[in-house]
Amino acid sequence: MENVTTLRETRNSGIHINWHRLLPWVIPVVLIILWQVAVTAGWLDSQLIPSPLSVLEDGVTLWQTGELEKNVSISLFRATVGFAIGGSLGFVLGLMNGLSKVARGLTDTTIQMFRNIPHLSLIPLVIILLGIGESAKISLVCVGVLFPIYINTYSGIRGIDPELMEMGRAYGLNRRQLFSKIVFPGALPTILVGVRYALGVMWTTLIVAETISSNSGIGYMASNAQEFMDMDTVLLCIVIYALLGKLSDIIAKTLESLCLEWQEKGGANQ
Amino acid sequence: MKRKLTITAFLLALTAWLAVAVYGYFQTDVATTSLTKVVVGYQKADPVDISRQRGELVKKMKAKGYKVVFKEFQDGAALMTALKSGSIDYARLGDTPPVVNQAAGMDLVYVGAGASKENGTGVLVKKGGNINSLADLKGKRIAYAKGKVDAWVTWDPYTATAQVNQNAKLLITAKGLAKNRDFVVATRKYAKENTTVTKLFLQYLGEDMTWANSHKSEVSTMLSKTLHLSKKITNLTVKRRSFAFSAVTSAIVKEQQTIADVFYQEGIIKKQINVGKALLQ
Amino acid sequence: MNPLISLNNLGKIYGDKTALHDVNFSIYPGEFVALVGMSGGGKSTILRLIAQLEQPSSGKIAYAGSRLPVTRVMFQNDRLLPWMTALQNVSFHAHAAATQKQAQSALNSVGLSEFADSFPSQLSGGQKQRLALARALMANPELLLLDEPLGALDALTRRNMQQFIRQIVDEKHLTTMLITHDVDEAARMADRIIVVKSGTNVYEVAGAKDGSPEEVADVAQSVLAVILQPDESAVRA
Repeated sequence: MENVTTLRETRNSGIHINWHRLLPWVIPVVLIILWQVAVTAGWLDSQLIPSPLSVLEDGVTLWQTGELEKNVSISLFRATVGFAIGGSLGFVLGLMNGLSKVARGLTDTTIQMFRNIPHLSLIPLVIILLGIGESAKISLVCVGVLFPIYINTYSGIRGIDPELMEMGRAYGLNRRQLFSKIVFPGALPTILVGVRYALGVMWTTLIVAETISSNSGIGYMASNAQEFMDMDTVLLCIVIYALLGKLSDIIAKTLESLCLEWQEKGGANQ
Repeated sequence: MKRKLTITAFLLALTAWLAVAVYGYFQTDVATTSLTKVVVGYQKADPVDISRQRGELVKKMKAKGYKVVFKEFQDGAALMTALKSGSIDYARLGDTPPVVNQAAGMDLVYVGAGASKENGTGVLVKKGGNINSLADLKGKRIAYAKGKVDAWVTWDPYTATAQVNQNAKLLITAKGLAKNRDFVVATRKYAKENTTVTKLFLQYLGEDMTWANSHKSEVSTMLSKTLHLSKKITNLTVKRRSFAFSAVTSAIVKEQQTIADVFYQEGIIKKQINVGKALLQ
Repeated sequence: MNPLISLNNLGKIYGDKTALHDVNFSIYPGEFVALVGMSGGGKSTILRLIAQLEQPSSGKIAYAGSRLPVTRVMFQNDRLLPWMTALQNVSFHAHAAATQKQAQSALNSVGLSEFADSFPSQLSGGQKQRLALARALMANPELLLLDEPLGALDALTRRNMQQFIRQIVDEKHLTTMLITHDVDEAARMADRIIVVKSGTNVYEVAGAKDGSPEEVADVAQSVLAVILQPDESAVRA
């Protein structure tokens, strides 16, 4: 009797897992097929909406001319540097204000004030102050990334269970140990939510920043193609955004599951 | 075991990401040099872009001790902002941004002017429609961008694109009405301090334009690649224009003055200006 | 024998509210003392003062040899660190690297040897409290403070844990102070019961550890009678 149940369970779960893995890709694949069919059948004007295949061909052509690699890698460079600088700043500020009352009193109001400025509205200011070189684009990404990381680090630290802190003190932990064993790991889930959100902001900011004035980057490629109604490249850029966004999300998720193994295991048990 | 695998995959992905980012860094033009840097702002497919792609100007300027860096912009407003902030030294603009900005109080100077582009600028209407002359336009909707309108005013390469791809015909060109020239402008301060640069830059740009006039097919191929447009369109564009770049003549100043006066009458600019003052004496 | 700690005229005031006044009692080495009383009576405040989590407003706590005994607290809610495995939770406060072995043996002693790599969220309520106990025992405390550690457990697990704790305390000859509002629990586990009422200790009675159910019931009865007496006729110990 027990054997029978086990067997059935195994088989069921086998199918289940496969299905679950495929499930997320059903909609994108169906959409692309529909799109191709609609263009081939002439329901859509191929002048306005080229088929997925011609977008792919456009991608291959741009790859061969080296334009695609150049623009994607430049965007990636700007995104990475901006994220690294803005993320570190946000993290350090979040730590300071989460841990120190003095720092909080000193800076929090100011930060909250700046936080509500849409960071893209800073574009004219950034151009005047930093010009139109790499630093302008990178600093815009910085500003965009800074706040989600700051807020999540801050609220993660403020949200630490005071009972755990008391326990740590009762067990003789010093300040440094309290931080490394309780405060930081306790705030980490919230911080990682911030990281994930910031990765999204990173791309959107960069794309806009690259359309201001640039002769490179994906944002440039798209706005440039748009100007000349080059729909293949416009759609190619959109697909690249989607892929980069997904890639960032996968990286963030993997980071979460690596750092927060305890949450996943607990979840499986509940 | 599975965790180890995930960590390895994660680190690999991160390394790949960083490697591409580093590669990207070397693709950017932050290369340092001992030469004096001259930054030129341009818009796609303009004379400066042709010169940039041909590459002769950069070589000649380098021989004279200048490193020319080109920056591409989407529109004249962005170019002007960059010029004001000192991010670029020269800006290649159309005929209206200098007028508007001079009226707004900017101390700019015209350092060079291009050839007329009157043949590529005009009023477009639908081919086979019932508009056959300017008189037929009475009561119709005209716009500066394509939408649900009966006619629209635009310039090359948009004019040519519409003619080739969108079944439009050029009802009338700007011939005799507007020259629609290209200009290179700088701030007065920069122009004053760098007369040699200006002289060399204009001279080489002019040489490139002479080359362009005798190599129209090459220019057409170049533009077709830059704009991702078919050669049919760029051929049409190149064929109906000529290329030149030289110092600003008094006739050209007069043209600009006419634009300024009309703008003032129409209330587009708030101040009457003297275009002649926007020259380096 | 000298007491391990003595509370002398201990008082604690929060704002304008007197939480404790004139608390006087001692705990002797190897003794298992239970503090009972209604919620808000002040017993938790006494524990927090002994554990150095707070400072008294008046009076003082004297230690044998005038040195602070190594004190460990086991709280009502387990207060385990969710991001650490059982083994890490037991050893997180220890400094030396050689503690891995000690930690494993602490886990073994509470019957969690197989759960070294489990996270708290993967353990049952009883297992979590045993883990918290193992953590408290890691540093070989001279004084073990139990702050209603079994309050959140179901009746059956609770009875098992009472026996289990007492057994371990006996094995290790630990000096222990238990705080509870369950008079049966106090009667069953403690050597001595101190009733805390209205911010001070009012009554003492010997526990009925290892006693028959009737003896336990008798002790519980007398303690309950004191707790429920109106304040005016409170008997000073």
